[in-house]
Amino acid sequence: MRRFLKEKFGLTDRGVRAVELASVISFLVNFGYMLFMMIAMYFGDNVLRGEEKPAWVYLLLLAVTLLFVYCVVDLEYVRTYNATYREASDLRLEIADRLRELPLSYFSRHDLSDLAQTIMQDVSDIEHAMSHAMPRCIGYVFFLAAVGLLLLVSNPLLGLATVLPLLAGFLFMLFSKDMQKRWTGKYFWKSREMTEAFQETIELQREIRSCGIEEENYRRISDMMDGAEKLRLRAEITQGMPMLLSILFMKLTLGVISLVSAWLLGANRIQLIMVIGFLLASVRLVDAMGAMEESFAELLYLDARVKRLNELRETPTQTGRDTELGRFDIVLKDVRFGYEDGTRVVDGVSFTAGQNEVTAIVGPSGCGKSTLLRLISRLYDYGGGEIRIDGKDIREISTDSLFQKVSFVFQDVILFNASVLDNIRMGRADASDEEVKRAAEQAGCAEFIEKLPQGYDTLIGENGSRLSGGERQRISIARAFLKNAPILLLDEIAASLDVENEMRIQSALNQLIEGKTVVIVSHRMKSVENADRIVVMENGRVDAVGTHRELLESSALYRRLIEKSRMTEDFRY
Amino acid sequence: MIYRKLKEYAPERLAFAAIGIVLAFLAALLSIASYYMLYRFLVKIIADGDIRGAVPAAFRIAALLVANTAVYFLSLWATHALGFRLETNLKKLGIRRLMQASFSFYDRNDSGRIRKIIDDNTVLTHMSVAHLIPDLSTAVFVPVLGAALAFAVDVKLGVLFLVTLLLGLYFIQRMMGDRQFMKRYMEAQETMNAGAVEYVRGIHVLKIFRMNAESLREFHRAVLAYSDLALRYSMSCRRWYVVFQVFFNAVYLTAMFFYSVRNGEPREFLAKFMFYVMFHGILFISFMKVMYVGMYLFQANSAIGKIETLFREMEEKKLPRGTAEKMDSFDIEFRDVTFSYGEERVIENLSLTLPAGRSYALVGSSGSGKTTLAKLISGFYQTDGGEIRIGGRALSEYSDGAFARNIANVFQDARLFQDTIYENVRAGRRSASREEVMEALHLAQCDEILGKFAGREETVIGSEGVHLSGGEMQRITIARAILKNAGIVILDEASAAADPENEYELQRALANLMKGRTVIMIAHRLSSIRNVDEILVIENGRVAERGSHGELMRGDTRYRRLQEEFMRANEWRVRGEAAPAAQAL
Repeated sequence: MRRFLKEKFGLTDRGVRAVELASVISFLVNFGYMLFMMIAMYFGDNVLRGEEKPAWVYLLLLAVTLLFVYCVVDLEYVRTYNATYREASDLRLEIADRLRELPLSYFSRHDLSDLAQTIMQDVSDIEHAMSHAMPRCIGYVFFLAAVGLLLLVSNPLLGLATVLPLLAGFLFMLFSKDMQKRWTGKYFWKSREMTEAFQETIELQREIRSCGIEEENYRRISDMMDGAEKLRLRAEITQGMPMLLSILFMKLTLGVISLVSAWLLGANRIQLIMVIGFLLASVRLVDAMGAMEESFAELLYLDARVKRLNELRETPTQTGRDTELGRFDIVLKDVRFGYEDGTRVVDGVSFTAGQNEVTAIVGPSGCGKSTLLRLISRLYDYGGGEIRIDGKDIREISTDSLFQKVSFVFQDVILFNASVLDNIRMGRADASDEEVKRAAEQAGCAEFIEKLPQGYDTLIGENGSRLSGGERQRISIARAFLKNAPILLLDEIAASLDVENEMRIQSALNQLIEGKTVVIVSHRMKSVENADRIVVMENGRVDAVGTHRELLESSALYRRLIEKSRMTEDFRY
Repeated sequence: MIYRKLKEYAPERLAFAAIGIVLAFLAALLSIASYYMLYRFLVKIIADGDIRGAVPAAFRIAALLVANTAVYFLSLWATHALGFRLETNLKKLGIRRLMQASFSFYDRNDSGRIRKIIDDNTVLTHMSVAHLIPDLSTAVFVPVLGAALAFAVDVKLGVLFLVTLLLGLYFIQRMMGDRQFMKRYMEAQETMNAGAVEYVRGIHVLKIFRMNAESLREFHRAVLAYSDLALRYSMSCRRWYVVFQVFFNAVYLTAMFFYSVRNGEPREFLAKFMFYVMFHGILFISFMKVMYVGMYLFQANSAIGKIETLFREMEEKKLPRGTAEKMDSFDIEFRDVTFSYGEERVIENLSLTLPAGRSYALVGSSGSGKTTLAKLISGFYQTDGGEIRIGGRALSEYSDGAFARNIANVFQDARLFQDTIYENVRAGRRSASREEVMEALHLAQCDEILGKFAGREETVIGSEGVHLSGGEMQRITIARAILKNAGIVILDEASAAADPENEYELQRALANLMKGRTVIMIAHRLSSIRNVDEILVIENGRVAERGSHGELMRGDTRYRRLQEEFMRANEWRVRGEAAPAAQAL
């Protein structure tokens, strides 16, 4: 049962226990409601037998039942909601931490903003199901089983007349889900096509207008939508059919019992009070079923969400042992990697990036330069060959120990909606305010930070939207100063900055790289001329390794790159 | 409110709403009728002891239930037809509005967000409208008809039914809790979602710096705050929820006590009583529908509201357009132009003339206003004061078509349609012949790109195995601009995003595009603009200096300082000594 709940609904252990308890209480609640009906039965029986009871007997019965039911309903409410919201935040944080442990390859397969939104929404859906649908449905199923058994035992024929239509209704509901799935699949492609058309219209609106093809675009999408609408209406009818039958059968219960009981009464094979009892029970069951219909549907459609969640849980995280690293030479041997199966972005790369040395990687775009940095940092796990730091294979070093020793400055800076101080402090969580400020000064940030309305405490907006590109990059360099890790990876950090910002960053950089193992990817050939070692890459392979002088001799590709960059520089419009 | 919107957005399917309501009424009638038959059935078997007479009643119960289900389904179908049409119409309107929206709208809104607002909310409108109508009908018709039946059976039961209905509604209303809460709840949810997006987007940074959800304080707080708020909201509804549940499941027993004040046959009373016990459950379904109706109404209103807000934002700062189709000349003139983004004034009282047929380069630090100038000339924004004229006419006198034909823009980020390379180029001028398209591709240095694919110019962009670098895509958009043969060419950092080894080809393509036209260019590579006819140094939205390279390099000018800085940055080396002085100038 527990395993089933866990897998079916994607809950944590604590959540599963909570749902179990809630289901038991929910069963009791249903039972309590039935008690009221029993009082009505008791009353009816007395009337039929011509026995009159004084009103206080009924009042007493009613009072006791009311008290019991009030307590159980209240208990159900409190338990369920408390458990639900604790579970919701547990799940969200669990997912967030889980995500962080996954290799980045997981993210390259998913649309990022969609991923975040879906996960939050998925948890909300699970949360809603947990507070409403799960305990009630489980409680109801057991209640139905118990009452059904009771009815079957007391009168098999009438019992069947009650249980069979309900069961049929239930089965059709399950069947409707399959139907829905099939049609949703068909519609899914249409709907994605439309989403893409929208996205294209939005992203390319400048182009659409400057080409004056608005009408053409509108007609195309409009036709697509009309087609989709027709398909959907058809789908709605077809997939509605089993649902229709399901509701029909459930509603028919009352009719079937009436018929069967009339027949049994006529044949004198049943007592009148028994018939009344069956009618009451079936009304209660059908009403409860009707109230539960949405909950059942909710559970049926929770599948996809739980599946996504479980998929996330099952994606293997990066493993490795905590390791103390002493030396920081990075040795690559025949490294191979592809983002998708069957493609090779890095194909047999070998070189060594020595401690206290600057190693530059150059080459045409798409040659795998940036990918190499991601492999060295274990943001991605390489597919073949080996990468060793201090003689140890990095796949056997826990990411935690490795990341401790690595700073990575990306071309696209990511900032968080927090204060400037906190954003820089990400470099080293236990740094004091003074240390953070010193790092900011070293990175040339101090000047613009002090101009912000609340200085270091200024909130910088979503992804640092209040700062310019150059300012953002300087903050990310301040992080690296603060972290002061022995391995420093720099990925095209000055691309797309204006001249002033570029100069500021350049002057900070020579200070930052002092005494570290530096691997730098740069598109500006001149800037890496003085590197201790230059790795020239093409199509995922190493073309040549050497100093600037050596490469001018040995590598035709390197000469071509230098020549191209000279031609670009000398070009005049 | 909803009705007015329906009339506005889906007038052609308004009849479906009426059909849906009528059918829902019919369904309610059938349902109540089946209960009436149940009552007849109970009277026969309990009071009259006429078992044979009960059989037809039992058959009628079954038949009426079948009819009820079928009719209700038809009602749902009608409203779904309406809901789908509403969604389609809103989406179409969305596409149309998107293509007419002001450029500043796109500056302010991220493309994914726009799409999501339209996508999510149109779906929401269809769902809520499709369910709203039948649910509302059921919520109204069933209690009304039900009360009538209860009164018909017994006045006292009728009164009890009404009391139950009213008290039930009261409890539900109390159960809804604090509305203020709802608003805070939505806000908390939005903060949390924004935090989640941020978290996922920055996941590589979080990994490298070994941050977890807990150490990202804002996000962690948001997750807990959201759950806390939701729990408190639930607890605020607790008492009334419990009271409602218990009340509703017990209240029918009150009828038992009518027995003691009866003055009739006990079995007849019992039949009525048992009928009522079975019957009163329909109220529960109505109560639930009332709650759903509240929810759907709220959803539909907020969804349409969000879409309309978006549409309104699209209209903001929309440009006035005129009817002039032809530009007589390409002289550009700014007359006392003022312009601001929101609060921030970017350009103030700028007057400037740029005679046609020459090339101009705008230089200056980021934020100086040079990009704004280029965009203003392209007619992307409405000025806040003064006017811009091309060929002696104010920009507002020209039609959209005139802009499309006479001005060619090449932006930093090239974007292509998901179509063949050939069609992508031909979009620049639909009437162009095949030779002209191929010539444009040639001039834009695209021959080498075509050579990479077996399908050459028929290769579909974005299809499998077709990968183009930023610089290559840019060259295709340049071919499109060349084909357009516009009088004015505006280049905003057109080569900045290019991959370095492709930049030279890109430069040559741009040079071909510029030939013989009036050119406004912004180039990050200052070395490349030395030969343009005139350079304008932009500072704080004003033209600080103006002249040819030679003129401006004489004396201590801002331009000269910019060039020197550029050279220094260009000559910088990792592990280098202090940068050498810019002797090459």
